Order: sequence, then C-alpha cells, then structure tokens
Amino acid sequence: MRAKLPLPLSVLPDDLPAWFSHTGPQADLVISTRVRLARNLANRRFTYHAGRSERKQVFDMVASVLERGKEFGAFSVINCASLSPLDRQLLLEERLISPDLLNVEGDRGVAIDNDRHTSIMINEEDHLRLHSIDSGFKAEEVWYRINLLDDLLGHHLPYAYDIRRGFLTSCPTNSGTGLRVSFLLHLPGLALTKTIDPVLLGASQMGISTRGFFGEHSEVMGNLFQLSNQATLGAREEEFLQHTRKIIGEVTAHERSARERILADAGLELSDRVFRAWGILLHAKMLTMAEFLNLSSALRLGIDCGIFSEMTAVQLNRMTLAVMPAHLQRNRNTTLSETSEQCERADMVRAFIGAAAPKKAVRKPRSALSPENNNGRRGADRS
Amino acid sequence: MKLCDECGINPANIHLTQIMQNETHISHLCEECARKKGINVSLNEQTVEASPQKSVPAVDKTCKQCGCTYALFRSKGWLGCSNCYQAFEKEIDELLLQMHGSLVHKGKKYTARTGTAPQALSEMKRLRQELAVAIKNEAFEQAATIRDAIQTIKQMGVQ
Ligand SMILES: [Zn+2]
Ligand SMILES: [Zn+2]
Repeated sequence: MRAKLPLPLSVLPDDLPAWFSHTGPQADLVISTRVRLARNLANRRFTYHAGRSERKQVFDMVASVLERGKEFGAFSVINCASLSPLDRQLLLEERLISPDLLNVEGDRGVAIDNDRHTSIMINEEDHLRLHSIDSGFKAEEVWYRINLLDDLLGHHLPYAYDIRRGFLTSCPTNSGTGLRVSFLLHLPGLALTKTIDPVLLGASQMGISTRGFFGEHSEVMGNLFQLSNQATLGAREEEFLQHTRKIIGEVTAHERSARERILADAGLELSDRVFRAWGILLHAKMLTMAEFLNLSSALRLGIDCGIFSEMTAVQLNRMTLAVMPAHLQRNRNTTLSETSEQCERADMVRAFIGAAAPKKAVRKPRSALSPENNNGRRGADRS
Repeated sequence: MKLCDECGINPANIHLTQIMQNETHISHLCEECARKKGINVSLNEQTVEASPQKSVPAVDKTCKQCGCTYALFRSKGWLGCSNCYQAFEKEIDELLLQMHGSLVHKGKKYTARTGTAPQALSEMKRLRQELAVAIKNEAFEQAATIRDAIQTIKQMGVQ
C-alpha cells in the first residue's frame, strides 16, 4: 500500500498538481483535461435535501469503503468540516474541491488519491462526484482511470440508477451518464483577434458550454476557459467524450491559426505586449489575482510563441499556484488583508522572477522565498 | 466579464430580479437566453422585473419518499431523492428532453449487488402499457421514444 498524503494540508507536497504540470499533449493550449462522474447512493435523500445525520451516514459509508478496500489504493478521506477555511480554500485552488464545498454544513469532503490524479467529492451536489484530472489534451486516459474507479466503487456502494434514465442525479442536467469532460483552455489568440465570441458561440451550438477557471459561475480571467459537454443523457460515455474532444480540437485549431496570424501580421505588437506585461510583473508593488492572471496570460503566450524565454511554462505554473490567495497566505502563515494580499502577491512574483532569471540581478525582497530554497516542501517556508 | 447563468457562453447583460415568496433571486442572463425565458428585452434596459412564471403545475406534486415538492425543485433546482424522478415523471421527462434532447440512457449499465432485475421487469411492464396508450392516441413520436426505451431494456436481457 502506498503512503498516504501527509496531513494537515499545510504540508501538501510542493510539486505541482498533475493538472498543472505542463507535461501532457498540447499543454501549451490545453492546460488540463478533467472527467467527472456524478453518482448518488440508492434510497437516500440527495445531499441538498439531506439532514446532518443523513449526510454523516453517506460520508461514513463512502469513507469506510475507500479505507477498507485494498483495490482502491491509497485514498485520504478529508472531512471539510474539520478543516480551517484556509485549508478548504487551498483544496479549491488545487482543484480538489469545488467552491460549493467551501460551505460546510454537516459532513462533506473529499477523498484524494495519493497521486492526486483522482478524487471523490462526498456530499457535494451529488453524494459522489468522481473526478480524474491530468495535464494536457488527454481525454481517453483520464476517462479510463475514472471509469475503472467507478466500476470498483459501484460494486461496493449501491448507486441510484434507473434503467431508462441512467444514473440519477440531484439536478436533471447531469442525469444519464453523469459524465462531464472539461478542458481548461488558454485562448489568448482568439481573445486578441476578437474571434473568441463567435468561436465559443459556435461551440455552444454544438452542445459545449463555457465556464471560468473555477467552474460554474466563476468569471473568466487570464483568457482561461473551461469547455465541457452540456448533455449527459442519450449517448454512450465514449460518444460524449469523442464529440467534446472533436469540438475542442476545432477550438484549439482556431486558436493556433489566430496565433499564427498574430505572429505574422503583428509580431512586434505581440512582443511589445508580452514585455510590457513582464515589466509590470517585475515592478508592480500590488497585484490583484485578476491582474496577475491577465499579465501572466501574455507571458504564457510569449513562451508558447517562442518570443519570451525569461521563464519556462512550468515556472510560470508554479508561480501562478503560489500567488493564489490561500497559497499566498499559507506561505506567509498569516491571514492577509486585501491590500497586504496584493502586496505579498507582488513580492512573491518578484521572488519567483529573481529565482527564474538569477543573472538579471533582480533584488529579492527581504521576506520573499524563492522556490529553490524551500527544500521542495512548502511547509518549510514558515519563518 | 460575467457570463450568462443559463448558457454560460454569452456575456450576461440582463440582470433579472425575481421576487418569489419573499425571496429575491437575481439571475444574470444574456439577451438570447432572456428571450428564451419569455422576458421582454429592449436593448437599453438593464434590469427587468418579471413575475413568477409558468412551469409550476396548478396543483403541486409531492414526492412521497422525501417530501420534496415540484415547486420546491423548480425554485431551488435540486431534486430530493431518486424517487422524485417517478413522482414528477412527466415534468422531469419534459426537462430531460429539453436539456439533453433525449429520454433514453445509453451509457454504462449498472447492476447493484442486490440486482436490478425486478426493477427492470416492472419498468418493462409499465413501458408496454404506455406504448399501448400512445399508439391508441396516435402519439407516434412518443411511441417511438418508448419503443427505444423498451429496446434498451431488452438489450440487458430482460424480456
Ligand atoms: Zn445565455
Ligand atoms: Zn423525492
């Protein structure tokens, strides 16, 4: 049996989560692929209608199956009720839980596989939300992994299932397969050429919906879009995957040709934009998350187009995660006011830039920590 | 940019304030989806008032298993339990058809360890009765859908 995740979460391993590792195919455009299956236990109220004791029963049932069953490998079951708001926010930023699980009412939480590829949210909108996620454009592998887990779990837990409507879910939008495959895309080319709206509209007419970074109702920042299938009933899982993959393939083709057009027709303007963003990041004293993401979008595009080499995409990802509000607070080991959060973010960015390009003689701020000197564990950051 | 709550695609430039049973509900919609919901949109109007509308049947239905009513489901968006799918069958089937363009699950088959055969048999019986009624009423489109469902169950080896 593999080792379990160290707890508390303040010492989550420092390596980037798989989805942000920039290792998968087409990771320059498709940051991650995630497949989710919505499942409920038979003969029980769905989460939002369940009382505390019912939620506890479901939570305990799932936890005990995962902890007893050897075939599941090493899942750590985390009850969000036992976490601080900061730790919950950390899990959200690592995309291990949804914003809904920030609200604790009774026993709700997440079971995380040791390799952080798969996780199961418990008592979210549905009793079970099985997730599998990885870097790049990788629908088959991700689906294969979650499908297997679903088979195993369904053998131990009685699912709510109806022969005609398939897996029954709290909201009928997920009924049937309960499957949602979503791709996190970086689409600055379409945004710059102002063709993003028609492309996304075209995708929506093909049954693909768009959301922001953190899912439903979250705002679009930094040209990061989550595209996923809308329908879940009426076709086989593989058909939904294939269809969504095809449409995403078209969207990425549009993005690539937009980038080529920009490079050909406005290479200088693009380069100007990238280095202006770099300049602001180098010198800003305060940065909101939205501003950071918008500036880093320009850097990411510069890296992908080969016109910017001060940082690698992996370093950029590392920096992006480190400046998210909860990660920032954990590294500083203190709660931050809005203003001080923005100052700390700017400090952290300069520290990363200093570490990424040591020759450039960027002065490191006194309190900032570069990723090199923290020994691969964020917990060691505390001073 | 805030995206439309309904389609998630277009920017939301209609901010709809609905007052239902003393609860204020604000939704952000694009013009297209607002129109689909039957809300009159003129381009320079930013906030539209709408009265609680349609889709809740005159006599409300209640799920005996969990006590959830159809009106509660429509106002919050979440069903109470799996039996709600039977309790509000007609309304939910209508919704499923709107959302997915289909009423028939074609994905993974599932049999809990306890077995689903009895459920499949009773479903088959019910569908056959529905089919007879649909044909009698010359509702051929509906009949075709039911036939599909029967076919699906047959593929699972239930006769
Ligand atoms: Zn819309
Ligand atoms: Zn019910």
